[in-house]
Amino acid sequence: MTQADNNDPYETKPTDSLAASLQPAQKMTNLPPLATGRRRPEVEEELVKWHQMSETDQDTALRAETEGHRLWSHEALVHICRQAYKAGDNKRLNLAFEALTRAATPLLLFQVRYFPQPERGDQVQEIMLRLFKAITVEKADFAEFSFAAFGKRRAVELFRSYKARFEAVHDRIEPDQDGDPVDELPGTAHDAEMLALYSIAREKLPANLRTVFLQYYKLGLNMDEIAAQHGITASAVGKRLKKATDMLSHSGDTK
Amino acid sequence: MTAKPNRRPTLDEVLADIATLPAAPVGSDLREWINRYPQFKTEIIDFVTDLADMETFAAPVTTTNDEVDLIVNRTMSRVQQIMDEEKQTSPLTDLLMDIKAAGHDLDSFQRQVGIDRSLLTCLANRFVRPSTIPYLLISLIATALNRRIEAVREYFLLPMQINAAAYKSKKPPRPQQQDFSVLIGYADLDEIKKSEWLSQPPDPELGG
Repeated sequence: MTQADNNDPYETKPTDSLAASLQPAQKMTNLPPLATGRRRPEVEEELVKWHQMSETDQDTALRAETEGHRLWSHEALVHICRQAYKAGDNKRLNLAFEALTRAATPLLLFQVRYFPQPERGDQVQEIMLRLFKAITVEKADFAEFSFAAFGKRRAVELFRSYKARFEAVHDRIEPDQDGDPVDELPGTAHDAEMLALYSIAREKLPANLRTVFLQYYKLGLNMDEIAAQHGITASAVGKRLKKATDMLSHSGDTK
Repeated sequence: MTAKPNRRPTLDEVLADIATLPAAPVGSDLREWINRYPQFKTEIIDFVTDLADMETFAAPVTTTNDEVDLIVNRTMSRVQQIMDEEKQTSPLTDLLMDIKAAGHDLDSFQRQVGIDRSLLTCLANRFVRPSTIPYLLISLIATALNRRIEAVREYFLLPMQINAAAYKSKKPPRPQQQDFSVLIGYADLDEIKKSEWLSQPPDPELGG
């Protein structure tokens, strides 16, 4: 079911001329295996090239990366950071991590786009510091396997933390007792129009309505499944959905 | 991806697998995940709901170079702080490795501290009697390595370091620690520098 993350607009590949000019790898270097799976072939190829370079050329390449040239994939840079840390080479670690931070920041800014603009930088910094911590405790296999997925997981964690801090305050307590069936509720899941309205006006919904709305319209869960997830009745789910769709529809009308 | 053939995957591994997907699984794909890992049903739905919420957010993202510069500078400043704190608390066990980790090569370190290679080798192998090492030298080494003075003192109080070949030989050498002042006499330093070192008092904390 898994596949490489290939839809992030900021997930760039090392296509710079300097990287391209490097000779093809003659033989595989013995790269340490990852606990979380195999590296992508193109990352392995990059790392073979990396290990065939002299230290001076490696430093030159990292400095170019810190100046904004995209020579290496995020995963390769994570590997280089980990190698430097294991070797106790703080100078190299510092250089490589700066290169990684510069390369990864646009992707991470995209991944934390739901935060208010002034907070996005803080969230990106937090993800990078969590990665640095993971490197220092030898737990960065996942980031080396797929940096975009690592960023996405950390972004979800930050998103939850953000919701807990700021949004739970605005939650309304919904009565969960059984009521009449909600006849007006649109019957089709994945309703594109509703999702489009949602993407525009999600902030108008309290968190408990948002969750139910997404689980119904986006994830395609039925009301019984949603009810079981939240420990409420299917009827209460219906009421929340009705309220959410009313709020979004009204929001759409006023635009 | 993260699933191991001989054991059941953990929740963390399952969520990591989901995160590698191009988009949050919905409909039948989501049910497939839930059916495969029914023990994590609640957590999977929670995770995918948050993922879907994030993906649905439609606000445009524009990234400027200034914004990237600011994030890089702030992150690296914090990383440097973390590295310094970690270093401050970890014991010094290999002087030569620490010199490299601090961003020096041996020549630049020697120049900064004011010693030659023979003295550095003797210090690294702890061939210098600790009670004769000047406080100034301890202090300069600690500064150059961004270490606490105590960490440098503790290093020089460790036993002498004899290379592996010496241990294997039939008649292993039995080196003895020498006074700093004796080693200064053999150092490749100019006379003025030697005089400066000889005039320095030993570190009282090392028994000097």
